[in-house]
Amino acid sequence: MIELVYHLEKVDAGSVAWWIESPDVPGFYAAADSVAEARANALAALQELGVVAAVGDVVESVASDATSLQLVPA
Amino acid sequence: MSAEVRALILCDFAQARGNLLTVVSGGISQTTSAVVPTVLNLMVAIVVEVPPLEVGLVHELKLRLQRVRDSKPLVEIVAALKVELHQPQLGQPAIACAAADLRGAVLDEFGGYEVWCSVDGGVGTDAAFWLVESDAAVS
Repeated sequence: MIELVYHLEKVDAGSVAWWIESPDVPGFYAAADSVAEARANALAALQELGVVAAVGDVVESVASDATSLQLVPA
Repeated sequence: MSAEVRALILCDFAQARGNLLTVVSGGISQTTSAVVPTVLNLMVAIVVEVPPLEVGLVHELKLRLQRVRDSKPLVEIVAALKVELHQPQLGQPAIACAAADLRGAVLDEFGGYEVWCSVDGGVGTDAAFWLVESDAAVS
C-alpha cells in the first residue's frame, strides 16, 4: 500500500488548493483545486510511474494543515 | 451515491471527538443583539454520511455563512474529512461528525443569515437563522 497525505492551502481570498504527497514516493506530489481532482491526478501520475494500479492500492491520510482552513472573502 | 451532509445544527457549542458529536443547545434559529455590527456566537454541528466505497478516503467539507438578502459570504471554511469504520459490515455506510466554529464572525445588519455546508462539491444542506434587535426579541 502507498500512503497519500492530503494538504490544504489557501490560494487567495476565496479559493484553496489541495496537494498530495507520499512518504513512499520521495519527491512526488500532485495538486488540484478539489480533493477528487487531486486524487485523480495523483493516481494517474502514480500509475504512470508504475507504483500503483488503482485507488485500492493507496491509503489516505490528512496532514494537520488540512483539518480546517478559514477563508474570509474580500 | 456520494458523501452527503445529513444534519446541520446551529448551536451554542459543538465538539467532534472521533465519530461522536457533542451538541449544546442545538436548533438555534434566532439570535439577538442591541446593535449592529455584532459578533456572532454560534457553532455548527455537522453530520455527514459516507457511502461504503468511500470510507477511508479523504473528503472535502465546505461551509459558508452568508447573508440571505444578497448571498454575501461572510465566512468560508474548508476542511478535510475522513472516516474509518472499526468493524465494517458489508455495505455499511459511515457517519462522520464535525464541528465548525463561527464564533467571532461579524454580522453587519439585522435580518436573515444562512449556513450552507457541502461535501465534495455536492448540492449541500443549509440552516437559517435571524439576527433580531434585542427589543423585538421573543425569548
